[in-house]
Amino acid sequence: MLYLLILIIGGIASYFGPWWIIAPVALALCWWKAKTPKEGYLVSAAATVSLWIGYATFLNATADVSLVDKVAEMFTGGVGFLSKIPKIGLVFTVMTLIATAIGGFAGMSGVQMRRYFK
Amino acid sequence: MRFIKHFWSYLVMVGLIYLLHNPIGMLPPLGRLFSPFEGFLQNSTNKSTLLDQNLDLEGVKEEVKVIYDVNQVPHIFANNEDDLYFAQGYVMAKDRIWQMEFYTMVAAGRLTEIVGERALEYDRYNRRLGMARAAAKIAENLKSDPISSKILDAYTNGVNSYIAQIDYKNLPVEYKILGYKPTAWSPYKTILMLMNMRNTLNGGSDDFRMSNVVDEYGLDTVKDLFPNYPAEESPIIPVGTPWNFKPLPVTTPSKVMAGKNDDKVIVKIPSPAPEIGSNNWAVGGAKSATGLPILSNDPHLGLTLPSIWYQMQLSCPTVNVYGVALPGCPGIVIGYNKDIAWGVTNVGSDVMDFYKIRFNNPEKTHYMYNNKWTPTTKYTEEFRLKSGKIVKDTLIYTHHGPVVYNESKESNFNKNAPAGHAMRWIALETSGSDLMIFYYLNRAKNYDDYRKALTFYTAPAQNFIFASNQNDIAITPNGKLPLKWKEQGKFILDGSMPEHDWQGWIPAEQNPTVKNPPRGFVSSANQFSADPTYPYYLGWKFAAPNRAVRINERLTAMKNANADSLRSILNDNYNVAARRILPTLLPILETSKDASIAPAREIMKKWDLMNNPDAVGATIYERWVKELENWIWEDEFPSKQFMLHPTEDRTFEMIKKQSTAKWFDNKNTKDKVETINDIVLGSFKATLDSLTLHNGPLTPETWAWAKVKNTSISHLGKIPGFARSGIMNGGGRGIVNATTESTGPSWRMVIELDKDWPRGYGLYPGGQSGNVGSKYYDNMVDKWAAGKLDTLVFMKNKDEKSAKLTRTMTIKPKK
Repeated sequence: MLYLLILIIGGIASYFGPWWIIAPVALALCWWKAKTPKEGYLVSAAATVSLWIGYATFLNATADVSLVDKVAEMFTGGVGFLSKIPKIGLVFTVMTLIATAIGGFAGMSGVQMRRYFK
Repeated sequence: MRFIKHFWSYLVMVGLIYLLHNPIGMLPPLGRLFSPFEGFLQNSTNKSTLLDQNLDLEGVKEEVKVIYDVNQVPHIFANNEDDLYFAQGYVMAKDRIWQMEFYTMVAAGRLTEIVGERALEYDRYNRRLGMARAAAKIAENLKSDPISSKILDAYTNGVNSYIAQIDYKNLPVEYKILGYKPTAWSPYKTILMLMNMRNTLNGGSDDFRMSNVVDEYGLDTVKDLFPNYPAEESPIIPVGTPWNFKPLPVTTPSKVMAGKNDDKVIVKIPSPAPEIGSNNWAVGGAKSATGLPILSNDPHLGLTLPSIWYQMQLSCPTVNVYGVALPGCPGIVIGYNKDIAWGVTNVGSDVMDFYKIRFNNPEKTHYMYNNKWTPTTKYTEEFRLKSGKIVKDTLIYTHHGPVVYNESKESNFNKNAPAGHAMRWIALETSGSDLMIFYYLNRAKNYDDYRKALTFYTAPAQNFIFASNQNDIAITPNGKLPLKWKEQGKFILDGSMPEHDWQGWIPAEQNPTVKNPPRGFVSSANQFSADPTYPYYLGWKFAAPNRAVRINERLTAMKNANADSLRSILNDNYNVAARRILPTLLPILETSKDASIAPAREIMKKWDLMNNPDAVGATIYERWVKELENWIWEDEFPSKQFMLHPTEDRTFEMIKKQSTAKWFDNKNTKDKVETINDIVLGSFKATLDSLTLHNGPLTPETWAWAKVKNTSISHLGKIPGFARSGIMNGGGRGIVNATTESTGPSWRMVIELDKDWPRGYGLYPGGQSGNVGSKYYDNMVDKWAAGKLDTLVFMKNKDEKSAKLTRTMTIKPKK
């Protein structure tokens, strides 16, 4: 339930707001719904990652030219061991790391802050 | 304590968002960039981004229709000129705003603001050249020029109208990566963009390198090795064309250069770039199948993505023109209309001179001029780094121009009176309006209109080629050309002598020109504008004659020409230089018993002198001729000591006619005197060794010319992954198909004039869109590499129907 709420409300907010809007959304929803900081972190991180990777996959699949490939090459320069990793894997890993950290800490802080004021 | 326990994760989150929202050093703002909701993925495109569109914009007076064709070329139909240039600015910005702004940051020396400290030296150099200050002055002057200011203002409003409605999601991806935003456009920025072209095409000088040669070997050697006209040449104005004017007198002073220097003068001014040239030609009706002229032009520039050119059609009741425009500039620069076609190549005359300046004190407050201490002008330049740090630099101006970056010791005259070198440069000339030549050419109907248009142009001087459907063809090396005594500015001049100032200008009507010459065609390839009978001195060194010789040979032989025959010259890979020198070099190779060079030698003997993509002979020749040149000259004229090597023309003459010249000896080998055979064989072997080292043993695949040359089109901001490399094509330096490793034909155009409606063909190595996420970013590259041309869609009016028209953007005035 919490997962779905973050996914849906966070998705709508992200579509119109700045990229980090998912953080306050996850924070508020976890304040309200999550039981433990751990649950807040995990559910929120999972929802944020699903949202980002899901939307990114959609954009990449419907694009004429894969910007994922181009941006991956920008970071690897087309040489070295990083360039051997599939480009989409590299870019989606970075996205997952960012989404996990932002979403996770946001959800966790929702629960922790609720406990402070309780 | 309890606070920390409950708030640490919140603080971590806020900290992370902050860090990921902003660029850190070289790292882009990662969170923002990778978020699929705002970041680079929002720059993805597909069919849905290319639909009809209706816009209500403040600033247009009446409805404007922008019809896009299959190549995403906009065809703009407006009801008045203001709306036309407004729409031009708007659509150009929509496709190319990042590129437009980037050029202005380069010319203004402000790259540090977007890429940080690593651009500081480059910025410092560009500021010392003084381009921004000159651009500001020109922009100010143009305010009082009614037509220039009208089109500049309309264009500016159009660009700004686009910038105003752009949100972060739609920002070009380069802005997202570098973490900044576009700022308002202005006429000043347009002039800055033109400054870039002036710098690219005229911003080089060998004065220092020549002065160093004189100091080392004396004037007699210079006269012998650095003559003022090559042994082989095919000048732009055909030999024998009469000069129907009385030239202005020019006096040569008794002292023709600054005094000898204690040390080699080392100033980091680049040599004029030989690859940055161009071809253009036009055949008259007598040589064409239709009986009317055909014109062709291919400007050779550094190859970049986004491309330096943007194709478009501009149409309103007073003009209907098709061609390519420069991103950031109103009007069409190279193109055609119903009646005429025109094109440009660089003249390359000597328009950047250096003056040795004697200052009276270390603060450089005064300098010696005409036996008087004359005050300098000082400007403080501020460089804002990306980090916010400010770096300052002081720029000193004399009446000649700015004192450029000078690495030599400050004690060239004596300890207390430092020396410097001031630069007189055509690019800093603030009179005239270069935009006006294009304004008038866009509207020209005949030869007289062409001649009138030419008078408005300042720099960089171009060979303006012309053809009309009244069966006229013409070419004019045109621009402001300084009036100089012979060899003025071949060496560093004396900044204290008024006689060393530029003497004035060659009167515009006395610039070399020819109309309908008996040979039936006109052409240029950056070679000498005219033979030595032309009464004025334009410079001692122009591009090597190879391309010109080949073009003129082919055009002389051509009959019943059509667009395709001209296209075949654009793709001509014949190596004229190899034809000239190999008959002398190959017999020397035969004298060697060394079996290791035999396979390569056999290839050279069988080579058909074509720099075709699969030619191994071309690979060996191109690398060898460079090596050979170094083996001959580098010992006596070391590049590290800022000495110039003699030209290829002079080198070839020496190889062919002076085989015992002392210059063949390598003076670095103490106990041996090398002969021409030692040098030719040694350099050949060294070439093969180097090719083997870099490409592996000789096979037809690994040593194929296209493979070794590896033509690449880099991204303008050098972002890896946004470039194209490994383009398989032939050509090369000095070849008509002038595609080198990183430079080449940046636009190819062939126009068949017609009484009714002209037929245009063309393309450039890039695409209309500046968005790397669009398939129109580089869609013309493969066709370009294959030497093909697109049929251009030049519409008669906005109601014309064509299967090649795909969508319409309708702009209406905002109510």
